[in-house]
Amino acid sequence: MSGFWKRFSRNKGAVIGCAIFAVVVLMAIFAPWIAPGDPWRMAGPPRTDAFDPAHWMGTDMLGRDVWATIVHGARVSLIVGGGATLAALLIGVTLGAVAGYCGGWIDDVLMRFTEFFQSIPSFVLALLIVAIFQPSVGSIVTAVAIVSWPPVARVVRAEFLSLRSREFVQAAVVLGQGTSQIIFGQILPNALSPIVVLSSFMVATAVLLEAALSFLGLGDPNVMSWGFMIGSGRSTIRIAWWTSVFPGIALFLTVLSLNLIGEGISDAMNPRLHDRGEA
Amino acid sequence: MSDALLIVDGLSIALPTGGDRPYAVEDVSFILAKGEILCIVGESGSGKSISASAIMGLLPRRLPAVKGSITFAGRDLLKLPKDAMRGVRGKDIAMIFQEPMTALNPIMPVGKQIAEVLEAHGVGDTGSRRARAIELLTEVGIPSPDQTVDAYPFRLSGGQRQRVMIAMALALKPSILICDEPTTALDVTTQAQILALIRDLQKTRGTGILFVTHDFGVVAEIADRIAVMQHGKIVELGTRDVVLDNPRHPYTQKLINAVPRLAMRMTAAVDTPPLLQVQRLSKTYWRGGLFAKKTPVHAVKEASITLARGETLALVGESGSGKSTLARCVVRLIEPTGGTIHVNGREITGLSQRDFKPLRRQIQMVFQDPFASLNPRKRVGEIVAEGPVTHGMPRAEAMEKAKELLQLVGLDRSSVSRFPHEFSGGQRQRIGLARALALEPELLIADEPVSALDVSVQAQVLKLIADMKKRMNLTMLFITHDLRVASEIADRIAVMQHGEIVEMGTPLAVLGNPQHAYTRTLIGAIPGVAWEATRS
Repeated sequence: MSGFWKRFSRNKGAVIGCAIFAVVVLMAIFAPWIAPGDPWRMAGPPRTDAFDPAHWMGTDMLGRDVWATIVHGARVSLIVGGGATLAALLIGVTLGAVAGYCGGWIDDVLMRFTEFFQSIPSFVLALLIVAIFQPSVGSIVTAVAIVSWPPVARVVRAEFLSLRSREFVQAAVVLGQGTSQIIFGQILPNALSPIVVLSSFMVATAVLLEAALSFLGLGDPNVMSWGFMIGSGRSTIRIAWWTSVFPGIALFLTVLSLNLIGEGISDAMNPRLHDRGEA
Repeated sequence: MSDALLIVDGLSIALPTGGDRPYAVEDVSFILAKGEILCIVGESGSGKSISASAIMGLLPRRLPAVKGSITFAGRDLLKLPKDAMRGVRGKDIAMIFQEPMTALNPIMPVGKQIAEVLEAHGVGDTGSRRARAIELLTEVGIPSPDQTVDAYPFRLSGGQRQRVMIAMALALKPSILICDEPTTALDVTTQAQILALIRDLQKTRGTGILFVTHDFGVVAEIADRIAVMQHGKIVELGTRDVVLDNPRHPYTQKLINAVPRLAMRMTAAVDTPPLLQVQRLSKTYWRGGLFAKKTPVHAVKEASITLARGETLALVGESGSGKSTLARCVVRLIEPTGGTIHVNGREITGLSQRDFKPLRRQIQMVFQDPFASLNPRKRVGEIVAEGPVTHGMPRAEAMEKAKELLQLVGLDRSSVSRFPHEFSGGQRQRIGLARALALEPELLIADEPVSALDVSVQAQVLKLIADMKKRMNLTMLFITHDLRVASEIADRIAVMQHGEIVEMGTPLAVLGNPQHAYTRTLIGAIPGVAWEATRS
């Protein structure tokens, strides 16, 4: 494992990604202290220019401080990114593991079920779910999770298909271990690396999805979100560019950092991928 | 030497820093003469394959040749620019590899692949290349070559693919042929044919052959001269008879002594009550899908064996003979389609997994692949203790037991906290054995437990298995493709072919007076039988 950290820390992009992501996490945790007060409330005169001494990112049409909305918006991005990813992993890993391990008709049924979800345009499905269940953080997390588990199930299934025929799995059967013990105790730990890599990219996608939903006005009305700010600033972009540009940059940097981290983990876990050219 | 084809002089190949030694190959010198077969023998990691790759200019960039020269036709191959080397490769020096299954392009007819070699060196036109391909296929003994020329590799057996590889290698009449373990992946009977083919070709064409192998039987069969490698150095080099019958270097002596012998032992009949009775066991697979007509494949066909308590039965056969399927039916990794299995008088076929679980303690298995049979993410202690824990032993007690068992199989007690990748192949097989013994089984099934190991390690592990068997009074079903190994360890030998048991008896009876034609073929195909007779 020390080799993993050594390789990871040697990857410049990954380290930068970690640094950016750490800033976002800190902002989310300490939002009430960094930008005290309700981000929805008027904090100054409307349409204050960016780089104003009192509001360095300016204020929007209703006088809300853009900096405060970014700080508070980090929270919902991370909650949705993390929550939806965890939920998607739970569904995807379980279904993929069972399908890959059991094979036969169970595999067929589960994979057709997975394909059913994959054949529906994921964003439309997410929109629909949120619209039906009233926009709230909970329903957004559910919607994002429901549209993002199929790739997990497929990756986990593929890993299990190749791992289940290994002799150590047969040895566990011969020892008398039960199916769930073999799936979770023997095979899953060996399938973790692609799952970890995939999940870091999934967080990024979930953050984007949440922003897109909020942009369309389907965000949680009680929680400040970057997507909402971009959406509400959209109509005034020519007279108050800062109201959409700064939340956009925040979104961009967060997603970029997650992708950099994902790449870094992937490279560090498969160092041989890069040696191939030498042989 | 005037007829020297290739002179390797003082060749050293560096290992990347941090390896267990500074050089992969150190100060290696030998001469390959016209029309001779020089065998390079050594265990895994001895640098024998790397030396062969160096001659072909196929060294990975991480392993540069730092010293020495390889002289061919007055030129040093190590200093040759890439373009010039490409002209030498295939044309003057050709190579065949170990894995015939992966060495051919699966989506190209074999004839085209042979023609490609000719095309790459600008020989002939499309029509003449095809004719030449057919000619070559005929020469290497492929049946109906004018049809096979258009066949895709998946239609061919392993032996046939290796013949195609040889045809490709010979296409441009190279003066040197390098064979890197060309028969290791093949069955003994196929191996015997391929070795005979290589011998023939070398005689008729006068090709100089560099033959890399780990198998002394093969060496005895084919070599004119032998170079023995250890830790990247040649420790002994001489003619076949001198090295095999009169080895001077202690390492060579150790290696040759470790080669199992065909022991025609008379064994006493074990007349204890039977522990395992397999009666008319069958396993049939159905090939074909939704639209194709389904055809049955009989992996095991009405096979019956009985093991008396304390007895060792070796199940011998080539790949696809059904020996592993039979063993896996006994541990219920595979469900048989017919017949019965009784353990201790109790029928286990048809038992539910839950009812079978208590019986699992009595039947344990050691697997073939030392690298795949241990979970890479678990510590060794946990791997060994898993069985007892599954059957209800408290964790601390099981760990204590694991330590004792590891000591028993010749490993350190502290091994419990290490991971499998920290151990060598032989050590891993010891861990696998400890795992099986942890449940104190009565019946041990060993599925080719030594076939992935080097010959000296193989001897140690075999001895350990025999020791443990005696000590714990085990009954053992030992599966192997190697008649020598079978004869050394078994009380009785059963020979399987196409899913059926064709012959069964004591080693003396089966090896000394084989009744079935297939058994005779198998015995005749054992590499180095002639040498075997002269061994003291």
